[in-house]
Amino acid sequence: MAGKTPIVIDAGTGYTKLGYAGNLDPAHIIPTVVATRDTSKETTLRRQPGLEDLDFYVGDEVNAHKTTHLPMFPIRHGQVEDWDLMERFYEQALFKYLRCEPEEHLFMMSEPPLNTPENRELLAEVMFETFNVKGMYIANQAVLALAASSASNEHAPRELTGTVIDSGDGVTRVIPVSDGCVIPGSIKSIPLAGREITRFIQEFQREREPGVVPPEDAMEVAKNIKENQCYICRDLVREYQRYDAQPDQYFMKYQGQQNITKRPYTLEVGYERFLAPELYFNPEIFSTEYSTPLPDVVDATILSCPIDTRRSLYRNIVLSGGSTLFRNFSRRLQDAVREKVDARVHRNEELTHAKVTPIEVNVLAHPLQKFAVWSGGSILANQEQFVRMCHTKEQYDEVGPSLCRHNLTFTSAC
Amino acid sequence: MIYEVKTKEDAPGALFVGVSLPGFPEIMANGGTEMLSSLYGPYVNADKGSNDLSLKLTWASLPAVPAEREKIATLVANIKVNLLAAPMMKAIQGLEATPPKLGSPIQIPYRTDGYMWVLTAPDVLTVGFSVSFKDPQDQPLARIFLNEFVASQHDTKLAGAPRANVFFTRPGELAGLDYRAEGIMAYVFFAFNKQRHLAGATREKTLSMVQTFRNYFQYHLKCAKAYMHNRMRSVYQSSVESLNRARPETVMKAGTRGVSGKLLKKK
Ligand SMILES: Nc1ncnc2c1ncn2[C@@H]1O[C@H](COP(=O)(O)OP(=O)(O)OP(=O)(O)O)[C@@H](O)[C@H]1O
Ligand SMILES: [Mg+2]
Repeated sequence: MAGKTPIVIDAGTGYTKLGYAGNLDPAHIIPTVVATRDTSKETTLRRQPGLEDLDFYVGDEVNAHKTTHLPMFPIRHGQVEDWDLMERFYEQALFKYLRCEPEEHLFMMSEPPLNTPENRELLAEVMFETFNVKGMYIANQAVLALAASSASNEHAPRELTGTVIDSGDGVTRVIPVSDGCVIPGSIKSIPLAGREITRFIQEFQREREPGVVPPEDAMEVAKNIKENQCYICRDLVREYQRYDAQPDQYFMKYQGQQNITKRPYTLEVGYERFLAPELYFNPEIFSTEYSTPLPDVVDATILSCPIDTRRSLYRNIVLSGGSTLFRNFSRRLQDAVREKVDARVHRNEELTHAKVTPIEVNVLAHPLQKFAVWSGGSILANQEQFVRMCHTKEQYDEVGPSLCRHNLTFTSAC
Repeated sequence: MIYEVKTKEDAPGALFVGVSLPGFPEIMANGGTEMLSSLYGPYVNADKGSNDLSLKLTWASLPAVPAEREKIATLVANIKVNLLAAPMMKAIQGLEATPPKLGSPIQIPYRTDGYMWVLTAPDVLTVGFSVSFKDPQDQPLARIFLNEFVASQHDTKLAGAPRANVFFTRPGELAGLDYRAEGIMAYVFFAFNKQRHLAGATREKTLSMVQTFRNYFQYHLKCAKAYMHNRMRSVYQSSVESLNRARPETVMKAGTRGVSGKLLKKK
């Protein structure tokens, strides 16, 4: 391949994934957070003159500088809200983490579904004017996730048509994609995702064993429990009974250590193992405002799409994002959606007395699920055609930021 | 610099690390060969394929102690630093010999558009870089930066730092060398004192730090640009706000159409 390897960046609410195209995993996964000098304390601190522009921290370094710098989150619910911060974030991401020369690489950037064209222009401005990148392509996260699934799973169809369920840190979205194009009117989102699950576990712990976990670690502990010990059960009531019948088989222990004093502590992990991920299927446990379970949302999303795409959307439901990694997620979702669809088909047959071809429902889990968006970007950016699809710096100088409002579509992952 | 890390079907238990970088032949001719054989000797792979250099790590050849393995991993990861430091090491050896051997200037085209020079004078090692910027907007900024850079050396806090010289025209030291001068807007030379910067443990640090100069320079420049953008945006924002405030308020008159298109009635 001519020139240098393209760079793929997927900026998410919780974590930003950075890396070079062609790899399966991102090279760096850093929390999307920027800490700048807290101006309210300005008078008490001696300022270093002339270096204001370098005086900030990003990612994991933020924690160490909490006393002097104020952490801020440039992305909210998947959408970039503060471009000044984002620009600073990219500075360090490119020069400190990737250590690349932006002028020599093509960039594959991800954008959330329903991103505004204005946001694309702002991104173009930052990338082309501050960093002078050689070329850039903005791809929709849902399309990238589909590409990752299609490339990593031999059962998945080759063309980029399917329903993507993207659940990361901030929001859960159901996004139908047809031939590489998102069907924007039908996107549905659920304001509950990974962060709520963590908070739920944290509260559960606090209520059951108050004072065991040091408050500054509570979030971290809850996250560890979530990522390592939670799973999705078949049936809530049955699971409760099982736990009560054989507590020592199902209740687990969590070993922790306090950061400063190194005092070890032990926690019991019980019902929250299966209750926490129930967020997707019984959201009323978590939120009083939102109560539609995920399978209903998926069904409604597909039903609102054009009729000729519906069968292929049901056939290829793809998971993406860190919060879809719970064990048995795909199976339970598939069963629930299939049940709804079959019931509808059955009723239809009863009413019309006509035979309906059964509708195939598949929820695909795949090995690249965790960083699906990034991996998909990596796969597409590694294709020959990627070079042609990028907007180049020369074009940008000619046309201006409005150039990046539209990007060509990929139609297949290989 | 391109790395290629892979395993091969026909060689189970072996990891291949391929390295390609511009200027590799020049590095080899100036101390690179010695460095490779002394540090990476057992791992250099004769079949280098399309790369400039290939290292082969076999599972069997690794030591059993995890800490030792870690050391080897670090060594392999540092290949770029060590390669670029090789010409400097060679020059330092010349300086330390008795009587000192002062070699002729070494030129390494370490990037497609950049050169590194290693020069020696009695007790002083000089490492130079060419600075070039393609973007016309970056050039004046870079010029200001370099001037600041020179000026900041008079700061007493930085007394221990190596001297840096910036030339905007071809410096005399490079007289006899043949290189593409177009596009190079400045030359930055760092002079390292043998006792102060190159003795003992500081040497390694000096040699790897000087290589990050280019990256750091680019980073700082981009940060400055972003900072100016920030300021411009906030100035723009506040002027838009004051413009909005200055606009005389339009009073809705009865008989005009409201937002929804309905006629407003007189109360
Ligand atoms: N093995 C796991 N099991 C459950 N949850 C996990 C696991 N690994 C990561 N997570 C959760 O996934 C979330 C991060 O996912 P991801 O990186 O996809 O989100 P994001 O892209 O930053 O956010 P968004 O897509 O909403 O903008 C975190 O809340 C994290 O705790
Ligand atoms: Mg995401």
